[in-house]
Amino acid sequence: MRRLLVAIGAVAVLGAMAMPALAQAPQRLNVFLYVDTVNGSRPAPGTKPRPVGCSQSNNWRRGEQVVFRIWGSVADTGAILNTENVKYAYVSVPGQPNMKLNWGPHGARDNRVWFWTSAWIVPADYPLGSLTARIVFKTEENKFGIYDYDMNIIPTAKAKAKKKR
Amino acid sequence: MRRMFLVLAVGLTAVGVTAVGGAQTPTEVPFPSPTVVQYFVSATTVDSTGSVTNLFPAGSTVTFRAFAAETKTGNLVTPQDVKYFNVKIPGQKNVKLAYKEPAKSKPPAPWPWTATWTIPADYPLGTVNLEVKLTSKKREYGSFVQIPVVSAQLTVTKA
Repeated sequence: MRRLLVAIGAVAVLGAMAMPALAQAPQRLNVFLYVDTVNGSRPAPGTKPRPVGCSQSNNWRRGEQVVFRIWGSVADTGAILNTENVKYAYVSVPGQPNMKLNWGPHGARDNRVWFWTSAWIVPADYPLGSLTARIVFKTEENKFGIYDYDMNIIPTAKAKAKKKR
Repeated sequence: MRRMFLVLAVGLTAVGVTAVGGAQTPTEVPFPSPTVVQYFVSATTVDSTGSVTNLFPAGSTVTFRAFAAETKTGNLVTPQDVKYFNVKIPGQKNVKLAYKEPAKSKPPAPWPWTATWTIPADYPLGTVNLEVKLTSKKREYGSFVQIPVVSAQLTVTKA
C-alpha cells in the first residue's frame, strides 16, 4: 500500500513537472499566411464606391466588394506559396460557397507582384455583425495553412435627408 | 536562291512568333520574394477602435500588429527568441513591438506582437514606407514590407 502511494505520488510530481513544459511548448505551424482585405473596384450595382479604392478595411457594407489578399510560405523550405506547391486554396465565409483563391499579378504596371486573391460581394441580405472568414491552403505535400480573419458587416449609411428651407 | 529566301522567311517568322509569345508571358514575381529565409514576419495596422485600415489622419494613433515564426522549425517567435523586433518608420525612432501571450487556439491567434505610433501632426502626408524588422538572438533575420499597391499601404491623411 505504501509502495502504491509512493508510486502515485511520484507520477503526480512528474505530471506536475511536465505540465508547465507542455504549456510552454511553442506553437508550431507548417504554413505561414499573411491575410488582409481591401475594397474592390467592382461593387454591386448601385453601391457607392469608397473614396479610396483598394484601401484596407475589415468593416464592410452590403453590396461592397471585399478582396482577400494573401501571401505565405511553407515552413521548413521557406518556399512561397504558388501554383507549383499548392494543391488548393480557398476562402470560406459563413453561409456562402467556398471561394477559390487565384494566384496572379497585382499592382502598378512597373511594379507588379504576385499573390493570392479572391473577391466577394457582400450579399444584400447578408446578416449584419461580425463574422470570421477562414482561409485554407493545402500544399502538394499535404500540409495545411489555416487562418481565421475577422470582419464586420455594418449597416449601409443612409443618404442624408435634405434640409428643409 | 529561292529556297534560301524561303528558309530565311520561315526562320524570321519563327523568331517573330517566339518573341511575341515571350513578351506576352508575364514574369512571375512572387511577393515578397521566391523564398522566405530564417524568419517569416507579417504585420498589419489597426485604428483606435481595432478596425483594420491603412488610412490614418495626422495626429492619430496607429496600432501595429505583428506575427513572426521561424522558417526552419515553424515555431512562433516569442520574446525569448528575439533580440530586436521593431517597426521602422522613416524619420521616426524605431517603434518596439511588445509580446502578449496569445490564447491557445487553432489556428493560433495571428497577432501576438503589438506597438503603437502616434503620428506627429507635422508628419508628411502620403504613404509611409514602413518596414518591420526582426533580429533573433541567434543573429538571424526576418522582415516585412507592404505589398506594393500604394492605395493599400499605410498612408497619413489630412487631420
